[in-house]
Amino acid sequence: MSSAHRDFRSIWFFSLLAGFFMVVLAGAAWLIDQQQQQVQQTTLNVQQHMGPEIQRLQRLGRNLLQIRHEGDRLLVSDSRTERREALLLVTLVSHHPSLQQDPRAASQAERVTQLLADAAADLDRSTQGRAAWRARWEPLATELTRTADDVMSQAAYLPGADLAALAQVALQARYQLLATMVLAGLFSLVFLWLLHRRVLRPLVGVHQALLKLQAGQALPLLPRAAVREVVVLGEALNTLAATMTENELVRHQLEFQAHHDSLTGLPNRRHFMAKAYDLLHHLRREHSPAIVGMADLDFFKRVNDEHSHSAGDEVLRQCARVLRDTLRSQDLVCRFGGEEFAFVLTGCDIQEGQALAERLRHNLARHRFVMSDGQVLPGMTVSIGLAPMGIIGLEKALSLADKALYRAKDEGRNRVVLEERAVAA
Amino acid sequence: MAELKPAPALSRRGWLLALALAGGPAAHAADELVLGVLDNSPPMSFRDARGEYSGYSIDMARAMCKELGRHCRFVSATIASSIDDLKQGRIDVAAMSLLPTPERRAQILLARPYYTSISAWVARPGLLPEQTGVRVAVVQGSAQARFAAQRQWQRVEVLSNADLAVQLRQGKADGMLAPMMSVIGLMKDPSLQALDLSVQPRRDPELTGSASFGITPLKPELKTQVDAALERLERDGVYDRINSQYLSIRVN
Repeated sequence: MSSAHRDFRSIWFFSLLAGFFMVVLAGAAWLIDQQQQQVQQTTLNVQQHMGPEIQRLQRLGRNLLQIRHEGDRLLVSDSRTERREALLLVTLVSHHPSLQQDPRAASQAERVTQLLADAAADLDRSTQGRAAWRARWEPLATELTRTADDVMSQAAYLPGADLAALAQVALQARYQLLATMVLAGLFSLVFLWLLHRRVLRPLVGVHQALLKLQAGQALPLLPRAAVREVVVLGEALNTLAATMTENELVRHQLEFQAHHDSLTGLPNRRHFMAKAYDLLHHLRREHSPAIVGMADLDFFKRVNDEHSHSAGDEVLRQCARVLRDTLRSQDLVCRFGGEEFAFVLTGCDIQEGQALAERLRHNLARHRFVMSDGQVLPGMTVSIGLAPMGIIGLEKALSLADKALYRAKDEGRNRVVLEERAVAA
Repeated sequence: MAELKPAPALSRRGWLLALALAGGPAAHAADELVLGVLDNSPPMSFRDARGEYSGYSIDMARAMCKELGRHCRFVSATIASSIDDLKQGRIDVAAMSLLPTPERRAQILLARPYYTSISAWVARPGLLPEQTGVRVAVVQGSAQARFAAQRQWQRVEVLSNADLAVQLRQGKADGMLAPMMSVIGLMKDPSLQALDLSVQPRRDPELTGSASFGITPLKPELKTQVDAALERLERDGVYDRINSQYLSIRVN
C-alpha cells in the first residue's frame, strides 16, 4: 500500500458527504414544509374566510330574490297596507349593508326602490296603471333574478379555485415526497458503496495480509486505499513486518552466539553435545557407523609464548577452517576447549575414520599459517584420538577418544590413535 | 326531672343531604347566566300572548345558552339601564342588539355581532329630523338617542321601541328614529299605518353597523365562550333559521 497517492481522512470525507446529504434532504424537507404551509393556509382561508363569504353571497342572493318577491306582491296586491308593507321591506333591504357593499346589487336595488315607490304612490291613487307598472317592473325583476343567480353561483363555485390549488399542491407534495424518498435511497446506496469501496474492502485486504504475515518474509501486497485511516493501518503493518524481520535476525544472531565459539566460529561444546546426541541417536537407529574424535594441537603453548596470544588466536581460527574444509558436510565438529577440538564422523567405519583423521593431520601439517602482519608460521602438528561409536554412549565414546588422544601425545604426538577397547566392545 | 338525651348523631346519609342542600343553590347560581332582555321591542324582543319572552334576540339568546350548556334566566331590562346592569354584574349578558358606540366599547364587552342593523327615520312625508322644531322620538340610551343628541335634535326619549309608536300616535313626537327591525315590527301596527308615515333609511355610519349582545366586564372569560357559541350557531345555520322565523329578508 502506498501513501504517495492522495488520501483523505474518512471522518472528514464522510462528514462532508453526510453534510451534503443533509443539506439536500433538508432542502427537500423545506420544500415539503412550504407546501404543507400552503395547504394549511388554503385550508385556513377556506375555513375562516370562504365560509363567511359563501354565507354572505347566499344571503345577498336571498335578499335579491326577496326584493323581487316583494315587488311582485306590491304590484299585484289590492291592499294598500300590503303594498306599503312590501315597499317598506324593499326600501329597508335595499339600504341594508349586505346589498350596499355589492355595487351591482346596490344599483339595481336603488332603481327598484324608486320604481316601486312611484308605483305604490300611483296605485294608491288608482290601480288602473297596474299593467303598465308591471311591464316596467318585469325587466328589473328579471335583472334581479339574474343577479341573484350569479351571486349564488359565485358562492357555489367560490371554493373551486382554492380546492383546485389545494389538489395541485397535494399532487406536487406527493411527487416531491416520492422524489425525496428516492433521493434518500440513492444517497444511502452511494454512502454504502463508498464505505465498501473505500473502507471495508481495504480493511479486508489488511486482514488477509495480517493472516499471511510471517517474520522474515516480505509483506503481501496490500490493496490501494484512499482513506487515511486505512493507509496508516497499512503503514503500521509494514513497520510491524520490518520489526518482526529485524527481531528474527537478532534472534538468529543471539542463537548463533549462544551455540558457537566466538573465536573460531565452530559450534561450542554445549551445542556440539546436543547436536551429537541427536545425530548419534539417529545413526544408531539407522545402524550406521560413526567415529568420535578428539584433536589437540601439539605444542600450541609455544605459539602464544614465542609469538603472541593474537597469533595463537589466529592459528586456532585457521585450524578451525582447515577442520571444516577437511571434514565432510555431514560431520560434526566443535572447539572443545583451548586448542582441543572434537568431531563426529558419520557413516564411517574405522578405516574411513582413520583415513579422514590422517588427512586432517596431514592438512594441518601442510598448512601455512599466514598472520595478519605477513609473518608465516610453520604447519602445526596435531594429535588425534579416535573411538568408534558403537553401542556405547556419546560420553563414553568421547572419554575413550580422549584417552586415545593422550596415548597419541604419549607416543610422540603428530599421530592418530584408535582406542582399541572401543573396537573390542 | 326529664332526662337529657344527647342529640342523635347525623347518619352518613343525613350529612350528604345536608351538604347537598347547602351546596346545591350555590352551584346552581354559579352555573346560571342572567340575561337582561327587552320586553316591549317587537320583533326583536317582546312578551307574547302567554307572557313568554319571544323574538329574534330572545331566540338567539336561547340558542346561545343551549350551545353554552348553561341555564339562563331572563330578567327584564332596558337599553338605558343595560350598561349599568352589566357593569354592576346584575346581569351577565344584555341580550339585545347594541351597536358598538364608543361609550359601550369603553364600559362593557361586546359579543360577536349577530346581525347587521340600519336605522330609519319614520315620519310624515317631507318631514326631516334636521328641521327646526321637529320632535324626534328615540329610545333612551340607544345609538339613535346618542346620534340625535350629538345633532342637538329635539328629542322625546322613551324606554322601549313600542313606546315610540305611542309617542307618534299621541302626537308627542313628529317622527321616530329607530332600528330597521323595530321599524318593520312597529309598522305592522294599523294605527301607525293610518298615519301614512314615510320610512327613510339613514346612511349615517353612526346608525349602521353590526349589532351585538353586551357582556359584563366582570366576566371577561364569558366573551370567549359566547363568541365561540355564536360562531358555531352561525356555521350550523341556526342564525338563518331564526332570521326566517321573524323576517323574510336576511339581516345578518
